[in-house]
Amino acid sequence: MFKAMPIKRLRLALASAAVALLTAACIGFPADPTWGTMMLVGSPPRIMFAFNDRIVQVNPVDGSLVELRDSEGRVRLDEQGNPRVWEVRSAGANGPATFYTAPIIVDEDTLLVAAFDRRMYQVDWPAARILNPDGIALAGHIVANPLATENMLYVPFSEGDLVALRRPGFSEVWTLDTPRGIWSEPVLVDGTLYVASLDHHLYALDAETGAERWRLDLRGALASKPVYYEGHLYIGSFGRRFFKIAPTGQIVAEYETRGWVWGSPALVDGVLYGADLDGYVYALRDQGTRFTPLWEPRQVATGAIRATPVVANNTLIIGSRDRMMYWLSRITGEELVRRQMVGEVLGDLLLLEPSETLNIREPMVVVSTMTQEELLVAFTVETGERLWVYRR
Amino acid sequence: MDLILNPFVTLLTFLYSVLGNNMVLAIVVFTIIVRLLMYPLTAQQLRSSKAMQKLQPELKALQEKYKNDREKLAQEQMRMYREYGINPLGGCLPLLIQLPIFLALYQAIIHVLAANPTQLIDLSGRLLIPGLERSIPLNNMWLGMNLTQPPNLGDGTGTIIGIGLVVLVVVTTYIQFKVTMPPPTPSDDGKPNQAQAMTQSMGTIMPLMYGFFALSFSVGISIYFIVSNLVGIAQYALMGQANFGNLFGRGAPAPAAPSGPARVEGKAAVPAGKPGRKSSTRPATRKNN
Repeated sequence: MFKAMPIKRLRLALASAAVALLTAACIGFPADPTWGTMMLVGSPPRIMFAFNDRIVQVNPVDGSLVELRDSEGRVRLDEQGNPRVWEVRSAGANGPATFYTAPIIVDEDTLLVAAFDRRMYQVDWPAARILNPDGIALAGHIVANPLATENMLYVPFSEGDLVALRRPGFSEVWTLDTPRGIWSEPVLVDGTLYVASLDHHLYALDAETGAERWRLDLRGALASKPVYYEGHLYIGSFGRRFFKIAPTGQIVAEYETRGWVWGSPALVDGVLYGADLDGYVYALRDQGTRFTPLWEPRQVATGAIRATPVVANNTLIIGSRDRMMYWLSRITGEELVRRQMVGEVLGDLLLLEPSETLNIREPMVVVSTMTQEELLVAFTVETGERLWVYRR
Repeated sequence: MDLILNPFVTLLTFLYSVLGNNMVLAIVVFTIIVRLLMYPLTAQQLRSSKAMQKLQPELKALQEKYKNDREKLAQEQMRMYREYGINPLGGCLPLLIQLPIFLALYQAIIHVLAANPTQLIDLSGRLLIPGLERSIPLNNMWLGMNLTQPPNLGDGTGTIIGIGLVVLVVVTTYIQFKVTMPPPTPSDDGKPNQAQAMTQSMGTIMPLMYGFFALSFSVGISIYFIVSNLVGIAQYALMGQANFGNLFGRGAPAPAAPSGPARVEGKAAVPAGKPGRKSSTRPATRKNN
C-alpha cells in the first residue's frame, strides 16, 4: 500500500498526523481539578453533593434527587408540570461555575458555596436558588472545605492563604500566609485552629487572633485534615509518614509508610487506620510513643487510596483510584469483599447509620466518583450489596 | 507513554531540587538535556532531508516522464531511492521517534507543575527516586506569575512579562522555522512551486499557532517552547545548516541540477541527471550549502 501511495502524500499524511498528535498533547485532556464532596444536611437528612457544574440533594433511601416543596409540603412543579428538584447551578455573567467543596450553612435558609472559579455564591436553601448570580470575587481557588463556627468562617485557599472572616458580615479578621497553599479543612479544638499546609508545616493558631502558637515541619506536604483524638493530633504526609502530635507541637510518634499519605486517618479504639497513594492500608496500634502494626500493611489496591477508610463494626471499607471498593476485616486486614466501580474513587466516603430521622434499613456507605454514570453509589456496610446509584 | 514520561518527571523534579528549587531553571536545563539527547536523530533527519533535496531534479524529471502513469511513477521513484540508498521516510522516521519524546517532555512539565489535586495525585506515582517527594509541591511562582497558569494579561508588571513571553514564543518559532528551512528550489518558470508555497504558509501559520498556544497554556510551557526553539536554532547553526539568510529573504536558492555527481549517504557517487546507473569510481564533488 505504501509503495503505491505517492511519497509526497505519505509524508504529508505523516506530518499531519504528527501535527494532530502534537496539538492534542499541547491541548491536553480536560479533567475535573478535584473530586466532589458529600455532606449530610437537613431534617430529614439528605446527602448534599457538590461536583462539577452543580450541587444537588439526594435522598439517601433511594438515591433520587430531592424534590422542592413549598411551605405546605406540596411538590413544586415546573412549567411542564414536572417536579422540580433541589439543584443549584450558576450561569451568571462569568459563565457556569464549578463546585467541589461542601456548602457552608449560614442559617436554615441560606448557604454559602465556594466555586472553584474563585467566586462565592449565596444560595436560598429551601428554593435552591442562587441569590447573587455573579458571585463575590475571591482571592484564589478553593479545593478544601471552609470551616464554619458560630462566629467565624475560615477559608483555605489553594494557592496560599487561609483567611478568617467574622460572621455574620464576613469581614476579614486575620490571614495566614503560606508559600504553597492549603488543600485541607482546618480543625478547631479548644480555641486553637490547626491548619495543615502543602508547605510541609502543621500550624497551630489562636482561632480568634490568628497568632501563631507553633508550627511543625512534618517533612512532606500535608494535604489532609488533622484528626483530633484523645488529646492528640494525627495526620499523614507526603513524606511517607503518619504522625501523632501533642497539642504543644511535639511529635510523639511516627510511622513510615510505603507511599504518600493524602487522606486523614481514622482512629477507633486506639487504632489508627489509614492508607497511602501506593494502595497500602495500615492498622496501627497507638502505644503512646510509638505505633505498632495490628497487622502487616497490605497492598490492597493497585491504585492510590486517597479517602479516609470507613470503620464500621469489624469492617474497614476502602475506595481506590483503581475503580474498586474493598471491604477488609478490621481485625486481620483480610479482604472480605470487593466491588467494581465505573469511576475512580477519590472523594471521601460517607457512612450512614439508621436512626429516627434517617429512614434507612441498615448501615450504608455512600461513595462518590468522578464519572457521570456513577456519581454516587450506595452499598450496604455488611455485605457490600449495591443499593442505589445516582447518575447524570 | 509512562515509560518515557515517568523518567522525565523524575529528572525534572531532580533538577528542580538540585538547582535551588528554581522551576524555570529546571525547565531550561531539562529542555536542553533532552534536546541534546535527541541530537543524533535530529542530525539524521537533516541528512535525509538534504539527500532528498539533492535528488529533486531527478525526481522532477521522473514526474514529467510518468505524469500520466502514477503507478509507474511510484515504482520508478522507489527504484531511484533504492539505487541512491535513500529512505524516503528517512526524514519522517526520526521525527516520529522524536515525537513521543517531545510529547513526554511537554507532558512532564505539565505533570510536575501539578496545580490541582487531580494532577498532584497523578504525580504521586511517577517519581522513581525515593526522597524526591520532599520537593513536592514545586514552587510554581516566577516573577509574580504562576507557572501553571496562562499569562495574566491584566495585571501590571505581569502583563508586560506575559506579553513578552508570548512574543518570544512567536519570534523564536518563526526564526527556527526560517533558518531550518532548506533553500528554495527554483522552478522552470521561476515561480515558487506548490510545495514551497505551502512551506512558506507554514512559516507564517506555525509561529502564530504557537503564539496562540502560549496565550492559552501555562507560562511554564511557554518557557519550554522558547528554550526548545533556541536550542533547535543553535543545533542547526552548530551543524552548519542554519540558513540565516532566509530570515531576510536572501536565502540562496538550491541549484536546479548539481554540477557534479551527487553524493549520497552510504553510497558512492552517481552521475547527475542519469537515474538508474550504478555508481562509478569517480570521486564525488561535495556541494556547499
